[in-house]
Amino acid sequence: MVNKIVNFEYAFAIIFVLFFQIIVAPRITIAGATADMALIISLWIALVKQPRTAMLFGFACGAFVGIISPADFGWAALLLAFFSLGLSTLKGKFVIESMPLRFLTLLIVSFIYTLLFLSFSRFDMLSGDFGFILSHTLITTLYSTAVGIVTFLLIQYRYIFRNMF
Amino acid sequence: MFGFILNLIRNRNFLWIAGIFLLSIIFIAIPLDIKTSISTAVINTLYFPLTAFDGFLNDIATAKKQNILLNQKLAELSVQVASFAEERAENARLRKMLDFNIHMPYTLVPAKVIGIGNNPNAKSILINVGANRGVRVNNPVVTADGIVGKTIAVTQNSCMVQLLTDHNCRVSAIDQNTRTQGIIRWRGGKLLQMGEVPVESQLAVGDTIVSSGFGGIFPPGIQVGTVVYAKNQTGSLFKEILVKPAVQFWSLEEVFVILYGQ
Repeated sequence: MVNKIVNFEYAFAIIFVLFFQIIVAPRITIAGATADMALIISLWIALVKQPRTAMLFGFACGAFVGIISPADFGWAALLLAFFSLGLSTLKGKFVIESMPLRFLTLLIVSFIYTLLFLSFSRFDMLSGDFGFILSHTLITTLYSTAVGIVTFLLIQYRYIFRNMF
Repeated sequence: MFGFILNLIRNRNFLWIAGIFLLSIIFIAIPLDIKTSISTAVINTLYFPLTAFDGFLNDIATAKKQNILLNQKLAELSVQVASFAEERAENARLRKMLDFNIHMPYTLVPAKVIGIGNNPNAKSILINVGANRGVRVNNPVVTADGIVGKTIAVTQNSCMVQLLTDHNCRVSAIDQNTRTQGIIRWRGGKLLQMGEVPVESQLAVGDTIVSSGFGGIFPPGIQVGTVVYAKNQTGSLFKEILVKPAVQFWSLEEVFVILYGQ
C-alpha cells in the first residue's frame, strides 16, 4: 500500500512535469529559453531519495519529456538518469541538506546539464555560434534555477499548504 | 577478472545502471523517422488530454487576438459604410440635378449651399456662386424639385438667396390643371398660401402649382408645390388655398441659379 502511494507520487510528479513542459513553459519563454521542469523535479528527487530511485525517476522523466521532441529522445533520459544518480550518490558523501546549498546545487547542475544536453543532442549547433550556445545555456540555467527555487520551496513546505486547506 | 565481473553482475545497482544506459543508447540510436512516428503516436494518445488543453488555450488566445482585430475592422468598416451612404445620397442628388439641367431651356449655374441665415424673419441661404458666374440680384434659384427662392444680394463669389418661406417673398403662380392664377406667399408654418384665387375657381386638392412667369423673376412652369387645402371662405371673394412646397427647405445642399431675364 505504501509502495503504491509512493509510486502514485512519482506518477503525479511526471504528469506535473509534462503539464509544465507542454502547457506552461512555451507560454513563458525568456529570450527563447524555457525552464526545465524535468531537471528541477529530477534533482529534487535526487536530493531526497536513494540513488537508484533517483536514477529511475530521472530516466522515466527524461524519456516521457524527451518523446515530445523526437530529435532529443533518449538524450534527456540518459543525462537526467546519470545526473540524478551522480547527485544522489554525492548527496550521501557531501551533506546537501540546507535549502541555499540545494539552490546552489541546482544552479551548477542546471548549467552543466543544459550545456551537455545542447552539446550532445544539438551537436550541429557547436559548429555554429558557440557564444549563442553559452548565452542560451546561461539564460536557461538562470531561468530554471529561479523556477526551481520556487518549486523546491513549494515542495519543501507543501505540508503547510495542505494544512491551510 | 571473472570474479570481478561476477561481482558486478551480482550488484543489482550496476545492473540497473547498465540497463538504463543501454536503453538510453537504444532510444538515441532509433532512426529519426521511427522516433517521429513513436512521438506522434504518444502525443496523439497518451498525451492527448494535455495537447488538447494546450490547443484549447491556443484557440482562446487566437480568438482573443482575432476579436480585437475584428472589432478594429468593424469600426473601420462602420465609418466607411457611413461615408458610402453619404456619397450615395450625394450621387443620387447630383444625378437628379444633372437630369434637371439637361431638360431645362435656361442657363443654369450650379451652386452649393455654404450658409443658412439665422434670422427667423428673413429666411435665406448663402450659396457659393456670385457675380463671377454671371449671377445678379433677382435671379431665380431652384432645385430639381422646384422653386427655392431668388437672389437678393450678390457679391463676387457668393450670393444670398431669399427663400420661398421668407415672409417677403412672392411668386406669381398658376394651377397646372385649371390655369387659375394666384400669388404664392408664406404665412407661417410648413405650408405656403396661394392668394387671390377667386371662389369660382375649380382648383382642388392635389393640383400642382407652378410659376406663371408673370412676375418677371421666375420663368413659367417651375413647380412650386401641391395643393393640400382648398376651401371657400364665408363672405370672401377668394378661396383659401394652402400649398405644400415641392422643395424641402431644411435639407438644401445643392441648388441652381437660373440666369433668367438677362
